[in-house]
Amino acid sequence: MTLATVLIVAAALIGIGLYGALSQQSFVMLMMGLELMLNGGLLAVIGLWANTMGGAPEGQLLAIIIMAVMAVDMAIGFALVTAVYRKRQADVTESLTTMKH
Amino acid sequence: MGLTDLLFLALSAVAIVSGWRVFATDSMVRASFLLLLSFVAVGLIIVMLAAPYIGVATVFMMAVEMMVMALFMVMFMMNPAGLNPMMMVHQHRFSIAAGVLAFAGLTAAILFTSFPENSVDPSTPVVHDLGIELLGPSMLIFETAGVTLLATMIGSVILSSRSGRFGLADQGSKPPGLEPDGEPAGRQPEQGGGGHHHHH
Amino acid sequence: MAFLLPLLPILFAIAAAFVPGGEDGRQRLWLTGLAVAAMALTAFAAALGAGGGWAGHIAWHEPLGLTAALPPLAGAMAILVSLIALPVLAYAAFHEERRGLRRLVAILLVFVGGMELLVVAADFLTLLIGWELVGLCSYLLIAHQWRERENTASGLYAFLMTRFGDLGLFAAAMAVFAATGSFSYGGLAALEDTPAVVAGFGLLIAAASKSGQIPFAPWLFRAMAGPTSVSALLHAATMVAAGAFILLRLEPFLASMPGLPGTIIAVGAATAFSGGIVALLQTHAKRLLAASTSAHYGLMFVAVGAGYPGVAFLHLVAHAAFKALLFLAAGLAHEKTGSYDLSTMRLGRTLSLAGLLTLIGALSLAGVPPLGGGWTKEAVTTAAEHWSLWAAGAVILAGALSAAYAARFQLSAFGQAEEQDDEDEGETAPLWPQTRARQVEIGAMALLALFVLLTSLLWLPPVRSTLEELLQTALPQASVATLVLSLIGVGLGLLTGTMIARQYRTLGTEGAAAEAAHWLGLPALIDAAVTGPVLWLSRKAAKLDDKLIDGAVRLVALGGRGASWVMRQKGEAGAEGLVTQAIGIVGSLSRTTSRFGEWLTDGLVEGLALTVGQSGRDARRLQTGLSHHYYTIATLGAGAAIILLLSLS
Repeated sequence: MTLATVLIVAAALIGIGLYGALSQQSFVMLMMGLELMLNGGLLAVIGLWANTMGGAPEGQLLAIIIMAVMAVDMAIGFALVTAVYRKRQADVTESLTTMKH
Repeated sequence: MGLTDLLFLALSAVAIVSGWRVFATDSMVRASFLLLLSFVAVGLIIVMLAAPYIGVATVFMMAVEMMVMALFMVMFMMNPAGLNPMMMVHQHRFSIAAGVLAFAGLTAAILFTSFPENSVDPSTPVVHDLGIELLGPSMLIFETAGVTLLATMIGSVILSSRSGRFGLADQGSKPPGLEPDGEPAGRQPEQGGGGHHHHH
Repeated sequence: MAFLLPLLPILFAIAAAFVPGGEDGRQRLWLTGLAVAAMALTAFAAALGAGGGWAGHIAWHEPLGLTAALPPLAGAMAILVSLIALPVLAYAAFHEERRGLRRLVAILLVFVGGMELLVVAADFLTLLIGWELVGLCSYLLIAHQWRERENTASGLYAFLMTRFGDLGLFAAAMAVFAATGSFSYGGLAALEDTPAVVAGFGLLIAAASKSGQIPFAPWLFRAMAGPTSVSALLHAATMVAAGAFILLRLEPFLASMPGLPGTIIAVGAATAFSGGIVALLQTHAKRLLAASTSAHYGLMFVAVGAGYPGVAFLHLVAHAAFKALLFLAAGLAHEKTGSYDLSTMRLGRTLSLAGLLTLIGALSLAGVPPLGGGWTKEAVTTAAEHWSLWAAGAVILAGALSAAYAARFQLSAFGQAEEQDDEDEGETAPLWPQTRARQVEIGAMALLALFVLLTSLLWLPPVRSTLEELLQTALPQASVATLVLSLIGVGLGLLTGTMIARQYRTLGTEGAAAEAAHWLGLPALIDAAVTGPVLWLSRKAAKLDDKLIDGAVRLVALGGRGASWVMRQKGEAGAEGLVTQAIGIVGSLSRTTSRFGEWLTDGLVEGLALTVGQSGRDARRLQTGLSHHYYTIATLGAGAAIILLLSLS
């Protein structure tokens, strides 16, 4: 469980998350990809904190902030999905083309 | 290779595989549960990394979140149970390339950086320290986070409320016309439901 | 502190400029009040200054600075100026016409300020400033009624003539500065040889021009074009006194220069004599008085030249008082009859009080004891006698002439009218003046008459000795012989004057006497000797400029034309061939470059435009509106940013 392995795992999670965010058509799946990326970030933060910061509490603080960001992200994202669905019965990204030039 | 290392390898494998499977299954609900599994694995790894509070909080948070997500799946998706196989993706090849590139780049960065050595002492009361830190020097951050969450709550309630901007949201609320009983002002979006693009 | 004396009148002048121009009477009252207050304050300040020995110093920049001092003579002069100006200003505010009255009173006050500056000056720079200031005020006041052309012409004549004399003062100041390095009066004593000569004669020229002496006398006649109060103040009592004053102030230095005292006496005596003759032949009241002014200033010059500045000063005082009074009377007479012609006046009945007051002045002018004018004239005679008997004789003659024209003036202006029709019997005017204007005018004249009477105290030895102490000058002892001779002269003069006034009333209006009455032909001489040649010279110079310079230019043009004609004949053929060849080369060059150049430049520009347009259209395609495309772009951008950062660090 060296630092490098932890970070590589985190990198893998970030890669998968990026793939999901870019490739999924459905809003909810897209948000799952973002969640995965943040997950990977959280793991990397804690890994670095455990191995290089010597227990200074700021590392955990950053982790808590990331969790807060996740929560905010989800909440607003789903609120928007709801609103868009009400308006246009749309649940995939292709249906929102009103900004097309 | 001690027990911890083994455990860690196992957990990380679970995390990665379930993460990948999230985007490969047909069923939406299963996708959310797989994500939950990935998060639980990561949470346990974090607990092993001597941050018990964070790990456990992650597990709790993600559990509830995935419940909500499953709910939304059922609400909005046409195929929540995955009874029909389908794969709704776009720009697939590019996304794979992006993901692989990101992983490769990050790994290269990790392998070629020298990190300082400063492990956490197992005996330090990390949770206690976190608590002191949160309610002491970093109180501002804590409060800002709190305010942000409040704003988020209010925002999400407003954004998803039933009464839209110009009328009831279900009826696809339209802005009023420039003269009474006229055409609605503003640009008319294309009507019709969400595009069902099937790429097999 | 001594600079307070010039400053006070100028401040009041500024106040006078803002007097409300409402109804006639109130404006006049305001101006009178202001003027009287100004002069009273100035006189009081001058008395304090003379008693306290005030001095002043304003440093501009070493070594330039203004200094003021009040030695006894200067202090007494300062008091005199303001005391004489007081009644004259009051008279001016009520006698002169309403149009431009504020300007008149204001400039009169400024003039008094300038005169005070001249009096308190202790160095040539301050003196020059005061001198020029009074000269300027004189011009402005002579040309006061500028709507009539001849007034401005007269003002300019007077200004130019006095300005020409001022060159002498400039030369003197520069000589002093060059020799001693400062402008102070004390430096005069240290001069020798050329600077001393320049300074001395420069001073004499300046003083002579200012006081209307030969050969500068005609300007005083032209100056009579101004209002009466201006003539009374400037050209009788005050501004012309500047010339005499500066001579008597600097008398110790002047006495030390060889030849200078004699020149001063010569100038003075000549003016006194010729002025007397001219005054006798004049029938214009103001011109008579102007010639008389020149004559009496000549007498003062004689006294200075003889070495008795105190005598000159006392005569200045007496003359100021009675001459101002006489001018005011002439103004009244003009108001009554509409002209200054003495042969038509005879206002004894209609202006009886004025006539009485004028009598006092005329007697003092004639030099009749026991009036002050008499004593001072005797003193001048005595002083001249100390120099030479001829000088004394000249002074006695001048005194006789003075008596003659004084008698003529008084009897012509205020004598009893000879033709007494029965209808005129009932037209005797009441003695006491009725209107307020007349009251103020008579009041001013009465004040001046009082001053004249005060000068009579000079006959008393105790008064003389206190004055000697106060003024720190010596007054000569009169010899009985000269006193008797001059009294005889005065008597003869009075008789002659009375005879002319009764019998030869029109003497001086036509014929040779009229010619002589205009300063014995001096103006004509000046015209012939100075103005004529100068104008002739300027015309010649203009013609020369036209012929010579224009001719040169025309010559160049002519030469150019000829050269071009020659070249055209010779080189027509060759030039044409050259030109055609040049045209051919240039044409082919332009043709080749045009095609290629056009292609190149157009291509560049249009290509650029096309590229930009196309890239714009392509950039627009990025805007798909689909969020996953935007995510892609964001990812690519993030990747590029990370690579950039990595490569930079």
